Amino acid sequence: MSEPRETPNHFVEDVVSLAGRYRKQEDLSIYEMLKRTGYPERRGALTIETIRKALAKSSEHLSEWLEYSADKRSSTGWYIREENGRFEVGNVDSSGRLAEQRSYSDLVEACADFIQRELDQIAFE
Amino acid sequence: MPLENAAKLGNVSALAAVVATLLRFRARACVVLACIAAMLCATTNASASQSVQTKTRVWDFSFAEPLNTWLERDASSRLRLENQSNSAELASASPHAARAAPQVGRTVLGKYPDYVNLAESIGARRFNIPTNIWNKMSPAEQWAANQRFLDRAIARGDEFVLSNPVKSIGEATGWFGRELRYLADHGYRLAEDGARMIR
Repeated sequence: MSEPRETPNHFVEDVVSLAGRYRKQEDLSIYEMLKRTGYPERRGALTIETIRKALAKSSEHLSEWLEYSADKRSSTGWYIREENGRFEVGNVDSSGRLAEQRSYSDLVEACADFIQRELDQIAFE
Repeated sequence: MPLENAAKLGNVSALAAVVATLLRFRARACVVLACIAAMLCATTNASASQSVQTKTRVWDFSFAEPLNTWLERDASSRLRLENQSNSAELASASPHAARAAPQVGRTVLGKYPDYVNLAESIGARRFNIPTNIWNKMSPAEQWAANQRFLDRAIARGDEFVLSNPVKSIGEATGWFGRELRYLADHGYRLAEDGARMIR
């Protein structure tokens, strides 16, 4: 993967497949891989709805994002997890407490929310 | 200057020769010997200070703080207080002092954010890297840092508390599973309750 792919569909596919591709290699940071999708420049074209549609088409990416979140070891940041049959998206704040939790019955919706928040944090914070 | 070179090099025989020469000139010997002692002290202190104050550099990232100040975090001062009361040694709030006198404690492992939550609530250690740095590390770099954290906890003889209990080590996936396998390779086993790794 070198240059960002041109069409909007390819861009969205590159974004939603990021967690899986990240886990299959050892040498590149998530920041670097995200940058290579063109995310910082093309973020405006991405909405929760476009992510949700892409995830609905490729459900194999859902478990990849759950695993990506579980593997995080950062001091703060967004997470997604399964809790009592529902899916929770939230943020670990600087004091190590969980904040901004939202609960979803639908994994696709939860995952789309998580992806957008997580990638915005990686790209812009 | 020969004296300075000899002192810096720590060349004992060279220093002995210098001292022997100086002893021939007894009138000045005390003054010069005092200078040598001061120089040696300064060299030692500078070296020690440098090792503490040098910026920690991990792969391509440079940090103002030493690695150990953020590689692990005591979730609250409670653990430190417990450690102080249980230890015959004087413990300090300084991370450098803690490093000098490692204390057995509890370290939490598990899935994010569960392990963070549990470590906060029981006042245990957890692996902790600032988010903007974590995101710019490759998986290989992240595991190297995690491994270093585990090595330090193993060396202290910590008990590992699991935020996500398992029936077997093989059941744990991802980094959590990798951490448990690493501990198993270093003499730890899963406790019967499935919620701890013990020796």
